[in-house]
Amino acid sequence: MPYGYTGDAFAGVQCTAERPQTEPDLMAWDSGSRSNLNRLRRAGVVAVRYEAKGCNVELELLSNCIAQGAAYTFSPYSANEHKLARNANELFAQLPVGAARLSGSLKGDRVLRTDYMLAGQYALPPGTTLRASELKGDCSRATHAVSAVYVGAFAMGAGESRVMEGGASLLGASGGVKSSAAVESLGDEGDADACKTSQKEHAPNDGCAVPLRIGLIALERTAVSAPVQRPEPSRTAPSPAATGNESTDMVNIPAGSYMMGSPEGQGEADEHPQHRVTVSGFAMDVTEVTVAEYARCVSAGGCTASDEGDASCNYGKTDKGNHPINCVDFHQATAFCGWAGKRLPTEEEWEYAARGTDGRTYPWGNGVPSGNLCWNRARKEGTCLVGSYAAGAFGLKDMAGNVWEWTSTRYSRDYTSDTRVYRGGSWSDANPSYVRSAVRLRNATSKRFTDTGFRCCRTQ
Amino acid sequence: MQTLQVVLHNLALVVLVAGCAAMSASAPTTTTAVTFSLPSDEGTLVTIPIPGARATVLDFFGPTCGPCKTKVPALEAKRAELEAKGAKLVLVGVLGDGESTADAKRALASWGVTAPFLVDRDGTGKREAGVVNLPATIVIDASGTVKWVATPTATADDVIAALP
Repeated sequence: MPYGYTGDAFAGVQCTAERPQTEPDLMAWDSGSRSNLNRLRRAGVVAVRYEAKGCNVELELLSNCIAQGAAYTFSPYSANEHKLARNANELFAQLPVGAARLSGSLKGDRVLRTDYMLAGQYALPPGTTLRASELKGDCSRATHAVSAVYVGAFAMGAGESRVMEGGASLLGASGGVKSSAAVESLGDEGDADACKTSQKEHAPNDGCAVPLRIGLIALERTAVSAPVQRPEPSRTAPSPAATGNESTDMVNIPAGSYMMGSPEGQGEADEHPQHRVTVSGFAMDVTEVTVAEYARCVSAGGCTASDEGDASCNYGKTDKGNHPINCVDFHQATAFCGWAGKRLPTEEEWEYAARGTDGRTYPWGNGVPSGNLCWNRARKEGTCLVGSYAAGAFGLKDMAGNVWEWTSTRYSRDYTSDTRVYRGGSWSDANPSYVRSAVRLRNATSKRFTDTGFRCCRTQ
Repeated sequence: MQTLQVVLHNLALVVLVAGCAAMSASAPTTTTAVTFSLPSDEGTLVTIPIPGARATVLDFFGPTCGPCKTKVPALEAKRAELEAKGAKLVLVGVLGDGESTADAKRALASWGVTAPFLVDRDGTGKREAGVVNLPATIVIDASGTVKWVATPTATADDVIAALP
């Protein structure tokens, strides 16, 4: 989604999780979810919706979605550790799942301490993969399967730093931390003595079976589509543009017909009804317009400078020459393409160029997005080098991800506002739905976003 | 950035009790400073009150909150005016069970709003601000003291008028 009116972002701090995002700790999660996870892992392979972007981590246990056929088996894993969070930033880095719930305990000089004992893990066989189609039940929101559940006991408390930074473990033999004048108990589950026994005997123990950490594997979504006949595109040699001096590589896209939008029951409301569109042949830039290309237009007097104020705006940054230009509005994008002897694509052309004629969801097919596009990046990382990721139906790069791309198509619920559609998803998106080729977003022609750029096309 | 001298008055908070829940007004019940940290949809961690802001306007919404469809865009349209007066407008998306950040983004987009927002999944921000029902708008000063609470009939212009 476009965000970050340039120069107007929150004064937030970046979050870097201490643990791999595929193995989050669960001590700050709500106890009911931990209990449900334990119940579900006994019934089959557990499915979750898991989305992580910096500090914003969502873990939703899908109680009515499960897969049979594989089982978790116990293997011992001993560790006695503690975490100490002195501020909200450390808390979110340590325990991103549910951290917000506990952040109110950190006011003043208070710190939050978590002591825990791990005794083992219930894990699927190494190398296990799972297709979304193998899940049964209400699974539409599932993104991952739980590959391992690390179990043990923990205790958590908050208090003044001089009290919490030293002293005995909160996980005492007496059964955990008790609230006192000095320490506020924030929860303790599992039995320390049972964990000691489990660690010593290398065997599971029901008293030491609280889920403290999970391993996650992304669900595979295999494409099932009929072979499709489509006209073969041809690539043009780089050539100087008619009026500008750009030489961006372009692909000739033959005329064709396709079903624009999404079938009923899929996608957003404005992607309906799905309808047949016939597009004349045109040529389109292989990559999004780069900072270097845009800068040449500015130097030649054909374009106005892009915003530079926001840290995520690429213009004027010496190491971003081959990244897409962003923080440009619709008028600037139109001016550049005109200067280069080209034009912005219509959204009909754009969608055809991205998905071709076979109805695929993404430029590469129907497989779930993972490492094949520039997306789900932290704000400080911003865009990627253009052309780094998946070729679309006609060989165009980055048709999903990197930056949203302005089109020339007006989107309006009435006839007065001047909004235009942009397509394709960006580096800032983490939801697969936003990088689908049929997704339509729009905004006023004067808006500039850190995750929106463009590419040009030319009528053949 | 404005550099107006901040004058803080130690006014006792007069809680205006919302008389009609159906009008979706909420009456913050907190009498202590409103301070909390929540992740934004962008993944950064944001501290409230916004450091350096003369005032922070917290506008709580939910993906399925009917009145929010008009309240949020109306206030969002005043963002520049609010900021010209040294305030920061912060949208806070309150998520219920089964709701995601993407749901909140989609809701905002359908209302014509593309601004970033804080993700309040566990009700932390709502609780800290003493908010009960949605929509809810409160104004806090730089120290987190609640200076104004929206009544059911309050408009975006009322929010601007209430800035300390």
